Parts: sequence; C-alpha cells; structure tokens
Amino acid sequence: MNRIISSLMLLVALMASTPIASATSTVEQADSAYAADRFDEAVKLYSRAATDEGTSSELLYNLANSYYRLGKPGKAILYYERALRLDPSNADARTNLEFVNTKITDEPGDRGMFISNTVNGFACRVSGNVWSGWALTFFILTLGAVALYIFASDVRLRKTGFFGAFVLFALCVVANVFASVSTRYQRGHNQAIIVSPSTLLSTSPRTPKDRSEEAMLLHEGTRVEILDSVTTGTGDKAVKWYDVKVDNANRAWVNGGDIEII
Amino acid sequence: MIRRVAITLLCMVAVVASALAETSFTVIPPRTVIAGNKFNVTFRLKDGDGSGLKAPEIKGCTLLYGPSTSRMQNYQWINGQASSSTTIDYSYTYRADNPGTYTIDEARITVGNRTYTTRPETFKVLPQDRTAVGGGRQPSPADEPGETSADIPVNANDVLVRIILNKTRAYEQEAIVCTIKLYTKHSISEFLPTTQPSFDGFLIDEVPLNPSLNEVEHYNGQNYMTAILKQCIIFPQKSGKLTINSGKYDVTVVQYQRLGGFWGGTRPVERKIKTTSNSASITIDPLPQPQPEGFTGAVGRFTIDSRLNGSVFKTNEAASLLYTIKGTGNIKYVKEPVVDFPTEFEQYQPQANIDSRVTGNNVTGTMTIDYTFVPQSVGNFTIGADKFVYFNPESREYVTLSTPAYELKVSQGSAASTTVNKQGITGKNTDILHIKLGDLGLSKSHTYVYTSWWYWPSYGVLTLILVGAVWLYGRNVRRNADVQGRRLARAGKVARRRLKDVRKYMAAHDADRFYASLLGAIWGYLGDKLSLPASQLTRDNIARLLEEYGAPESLTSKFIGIIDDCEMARYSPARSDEQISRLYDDASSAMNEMEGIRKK
Repeated sequence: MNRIISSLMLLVALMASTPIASATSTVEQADSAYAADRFDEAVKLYSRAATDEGTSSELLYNLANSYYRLGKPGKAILYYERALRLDPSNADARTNLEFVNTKITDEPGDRGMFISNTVNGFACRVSGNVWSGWALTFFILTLGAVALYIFASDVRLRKTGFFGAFVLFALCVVANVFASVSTRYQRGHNQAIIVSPSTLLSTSPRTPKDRSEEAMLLHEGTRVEILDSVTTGTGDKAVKWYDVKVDNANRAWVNGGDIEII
Repeated sequence: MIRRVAITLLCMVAVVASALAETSFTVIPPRTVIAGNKFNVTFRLKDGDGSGLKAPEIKGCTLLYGPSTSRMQNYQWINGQASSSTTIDYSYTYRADNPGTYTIDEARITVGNRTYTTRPETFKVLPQDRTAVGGGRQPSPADEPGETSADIPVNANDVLVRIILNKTRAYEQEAIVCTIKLYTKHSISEFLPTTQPSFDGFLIDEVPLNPSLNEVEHYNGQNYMTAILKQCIIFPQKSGKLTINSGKYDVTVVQYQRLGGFWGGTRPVERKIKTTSNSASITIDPLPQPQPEGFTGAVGRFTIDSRLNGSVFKTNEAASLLYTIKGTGNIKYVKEPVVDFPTEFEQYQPQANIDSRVTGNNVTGTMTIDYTFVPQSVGNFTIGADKFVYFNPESREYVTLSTPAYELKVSQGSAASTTVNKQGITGKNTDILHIKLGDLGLSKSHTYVYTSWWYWPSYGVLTLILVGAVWLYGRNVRRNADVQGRRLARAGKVARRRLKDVRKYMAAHDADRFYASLLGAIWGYLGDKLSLPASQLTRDNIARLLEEYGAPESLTSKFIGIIDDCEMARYSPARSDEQISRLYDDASSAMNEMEGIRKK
C-alpha cells in the first residue's frame, strides 16, 4: 500500500515537473494565473500573447482587468480604451471602463460640444467596419430603388423606387459619416492616458520652474487629448512634451513619460 | 466567673502583644548627595527595642560618626482605644568622596530573639558644581536651594526651563514623550508662563501631574532642583523636521539677604527674572511606502477583537457587532473601521468609545465600536472579514490583523408587517466584470474597411453596373418597340451598299454599265440572301427559293420583273433615264422589302 502511494506521488511529481506550459497556450496560462490571483504573472503572459500571437479586443480587455487587479487604474483604463478601439461594441470593456473611471481621482470638466459628443458617442459604439457595411448595403439598395424606378412599369412601384432612392441614399450618406467618425476613432492616436500616479502639468514644454509655470496636477487614469508635441534635449536627455487638452477649459504641457498614447 | 475574667484578660494581653509585634526595621537613604558633602543614613526601628546594630559600610564613602540615636514615642487614644508606638532612629553620618551610585548594604538588628534586616538601598552621589570645584563659591546645597544671598546676582544659568524629548527620530504618528522641566538653584515663589511652547504639527496627550520641586539633577556640570512643569505624549502629524517653539516664563526668585549684626539672620528678597526654554526639534520620518491597503494611520501595537451579540437574528430586530481595538499608540486617533455589512442590513451610526490613559512613554487604551444593524430581509448573509492594519514603529513594519467573517441566518421576525415590501433588484456594482475566457480570436492585423483602397471604388463599380444595365435595357426596349423600322433601316443600308456602283452609273447616264451592274447586284444580293452559288442562279430557282424563304409572291414577281426588264433593256436600244431611275427605285425597294422579311 505504501509503495503504491509513493509511486503515485512520484508520478504526480513527474507530472508536475513536466512543462505543462507547452501543452496549454499562453492565453490559457494567463487565464489560470488571473483566476489564481497572480495578476502580475497574468499581465506578463497576456502581453507576451499579444506580441507573439497578435491582439484582439478581448485580449486587451483581459489585460486591462489584470492591471486593475494589480492596482494600476491608469494602465487598466489605457487597455480598456485600446480594447474599445479594436472593437467599439465590446460591451464588457465599456462597462469596466466606466466602472474604473469612477474610481480615479480626477474629474475633468466638459469635453467637446453636445451635438458632436452625441453623434460621436452614437457612431463610436459600433465599429467602422459595420458602419461601412451598412453604407454599402444602403448604396446597393439605393441603386435597386433607382432600378425599380427605371424598369418598373407599375406607377406605384416606380413612385416607391423614386422616393425610396432618396431615403436610402440619405441613409447611405449618414452611415458613411458614421463609418468615417468611427474609423477615425478606432485608428486615432490623439488620445492618451496618464499612467504615473500623478503628474504636474506645465504651461510650457519643460518642468515647471516656479509656481507660475505650474498648470495643474493630474492623477493616474485621466484621459487627455494630444494636440502637439515637442522634443526637448538630445540623446539620453531627450524628453518629449505633449500639448494636451484635458477638457474644454484646461490645456497644458505634459511630460511624455507620464502618459501613454492609446 | 473567674473563668470569664481570665479570658478577657487573655484577650487584652493578646491585643497588646499584637500591637507590640508590629516591629519593623527600615533604612532611609539620603535624598540627594553631592560629592564632598556629608550625608546621613538613618535606620529606623519601629516598635521594638533593638540591640547589636552594626554600622553598615558603604563602599566609597567614609563613615564620619554615628550612631546618634533619637527616640520618639507616641500615645494615641482613638475611640477609646489606646495605642502606642515607639520609633528609634539610628543616624550615621558619612561623607561621599566621589560621584557615582552607592549601595547601603543590609543592616541587622536584634529585637528580643529575632533578627531584623533592612533591604539594600542604592542612592546616587552627584558631582559637584563645576564653579564650586573651581572657585569654591557658594556650593549650593541642593536640599536647601533658597539659601543664597541677595548680593549674588541671579545667573542666567541658575533658572532654566528645558524641553526634553525622549527620541530624536520618530515615525509619523509615533508616540514621543515630551517633558518640560524647570531647573533652578533658587527657591521660586511665582512661576508664570507668558508664552507656552507651541506644538505645531503634533497631537498632544497630557500627563496629569503636580509640579513640585523635588528632584536634584546634575545638568551641565551644575546641580539643580528640578520640577516637571508639564509632561505629555505627542504624536507627530507630518513628516520632516518638526520644532517645538521655546516658551517664555516670568519667574520670581526668592533670595535671602544676610543681615549684619551679631545675631545675623536673613531677610527674603524677591527678584523677577525672565527665562526662555530651549526649542526642541525632532526628525519625523514618513511611514514607509507602499502603505498596505486598509491602512488608516494607526501606529503602535494593537490587538483587535470582534464579537457578534446574540446568535439568533430576525428581521426588524436590532443586533450589534462589537469591535474592540486594544493597544498602545495613537489609539485616540484611530479611525473607526468600516465593517462590510450586507446592504440588506439597515445600519446606524457606529458608536465609538475610547478609553485611554498615559502609561509610561505611551498611551494605552481601548477603543470599542458598537455597530448596530437591523436585518431587513430573510436569508443567509455574511458580515465580511475586516482587516485592521497598523504600523509598528519598533519592528518598522505594517501588521495586518483580521477579524473573522460572520455568517448569519436571518429569520422572519415577529414584528414583520403583513404587507410584502416589493423590492427592486439593485446591483451592487462594486467590481469589474470577469475576464473573457476561451478563444480570444487573436490576429496580428486589423482591417478598416472605410480606409481600405477598394471602399470608394466599389461605389463607382456599383454605379457603373447600374448605368450599364440601364443602357442595355433601354436599347433593348427601343429595338423591341420598332422592329420593322430597324429591319428597314438595316435593309436600306444593305441595298445602298449593293447599289453603290449602280447609282454611280445612273448618275453618269451610262446605261449599259447601269443595267449590267444592276443585274449583277440583284443576282449577287439574291445569291447571298438565299445562299445559292452563282452557277445555280436561274429564274426558276429564285422564284422557288424566295417562296421557301417566306417572301410574298408580289416580291418574287417584283424581283423577276426587275431582272426581266434589265435583260431586256440591255439588248434594246430604247432606254430612257426615266426607266433607269424607276428600275433603281424598284430594286432598292425590293431589297428593302426582302430585308424586312424574317426567314422561315
């Protein structure tokens, strides 16, 4: 009996020593690391999967979750935003992003205009590809309606075709506008997240010399819009400064080391 | 009777004996001794008649003389009871030669047949005042501080106030003992602080005490009478170098002026002086980073305990959780822990009760927090485990304590109302959603249709497809609408091509060539049309084949007529332009008509 137990234990030990890693994929390892609360390991594995096997909205979402669990809301927000860039219809990422945004320190004022925000908010909930598909579909339907108008002999059908063509063409234009907005949102690199715990923004592209050059203090997780950039210094001392817009009222320069572009 | 008297007497003897039996033998060590001075050591025997006392030797001190014996006797009547006590003091006079700590060894005395011993006592011998050593001036006997003459001015160093901290470096929120001490060589009649030292950046816990001049202390080469003015435990609230500002005091010193004359004598003279305390500074270290989650600023050493009152829980019946934090440190400033109650429990403001006192160098106390809650719904609930994190400045690390989680089952209380309260389902929304598992659909490239090269061209292609379709359709419609015209148009074209030469000759009025070419054109046309080789072109064949082709008889006869006319005209002299143009028109119309016929 003892012998059986010891041989079993040996077997278990052998199984444990064989690299299970080769059997399961990097993503699966990362999932199990996350489930076992080893979040720093999960972050490493998800990042490796991203460089080796490519990304997806879900992968970035998982990475963001791991960062949040590690207590890095800035990085978490960054990766939720990236996940949403890849797939704006990722509802889980949107939910978690909204949740983490309630946990951060800064509360910026109004950003953008009401109408453009509404349009962008609507357009950027669906991926540009989907809008493009709709636009093409509407265009084909428009052509169909034109054909109906031209070829049909029945007056009612021709009337339907005539007005339908106008409506469908308008829809096609709208879908194209949305596709343009959404694609620009998805491909844009003009937004950044503050990833250091806090950073002092300056009125000019350098470290504030005195109080008058201090613009504002921002904390981890705040999203800013990049307007311009300047590199100061050369070689190892080169520091990139970004002119960023925090909200409609606040604009200042931030050290490139404190932010990460989405 | 005799027996009773005997018992009473016995009792009385016993009482007296018991009173006598309380014999004690103690040593009274000297209070303050300054090197070079004489001092007394007294052995006190109470209620006894001793003999055989040996003067104990004190190493390092010289026995000058002794013992001198003094005897005191007390009689007291209290409530009709008599008591008496005797005290015999044996005094020895020594001289201390050097400063240091000395021990009075145990002394023995025999009372009756019992031997009593004293406990060994230690005392300190302070060094002499430096000035006294040097110049021999006024060796201020410390136990008689007032005996200074008025002609000697009060030195700045004679009265001073010091702020003494027990540490030079501490962590934020760590307890520090701050003592404000008065040092004086003169007796003081009035002491008035004009500016109290300010403790900026500290929270203070004062130690209650009655200031009195009672200690001699050797400070800076001088012996002073000291009094603790104020003692407090201070808790620094911020890091960096913190300074306790100096206080200012008005002191009235009493000096005794010596009166001349034979009898001498002294007269007290008061002098007002101002003195300033030193300012003390201390370096405060910030608490080490990173601070663990749940740390709310408790520094010291603590233990926690939590207790749930009762074991049966019912809806709408109040219950409570007692949370106790015990320990040493900034207990007064510990924040109430936030216990994780289920949201289905109605909670009340927790009642915190802090009981703290100063012990030694720190503040010790107990904080009791009473969380009252009322379960609102029936079910199984968990009161979450709570973490209490404090910083231990001695081991320089954060310590995490935790209370257990409580599982409680709430049953329907009797006070429940008969109507059911409808409750909306409220999400607690306190955490992020879980990660996505399974295939994540990884891909290295992501395409954006809108910006791909083919997106806009595809609109053009689609439009062109429609335009092409419309054009094709339109042409078909036109064709279907006018078949005859189209045939005619085509036939006319054929006839015009065939009759090109003929027309040329007609215009040139060359009749011979006209007829020959017209005949050739007709034969050629019919040969092509009826797929006949030139060898089989005969009039009969043509008539038959034209009929088979589907041409009406009139057309056949028309062709035949033209051929006949041509052949006849070729060989007859009578020819006119009129006939030529008529024949041409006939041939042309016949050909057109022929083209309009659909082959059977």
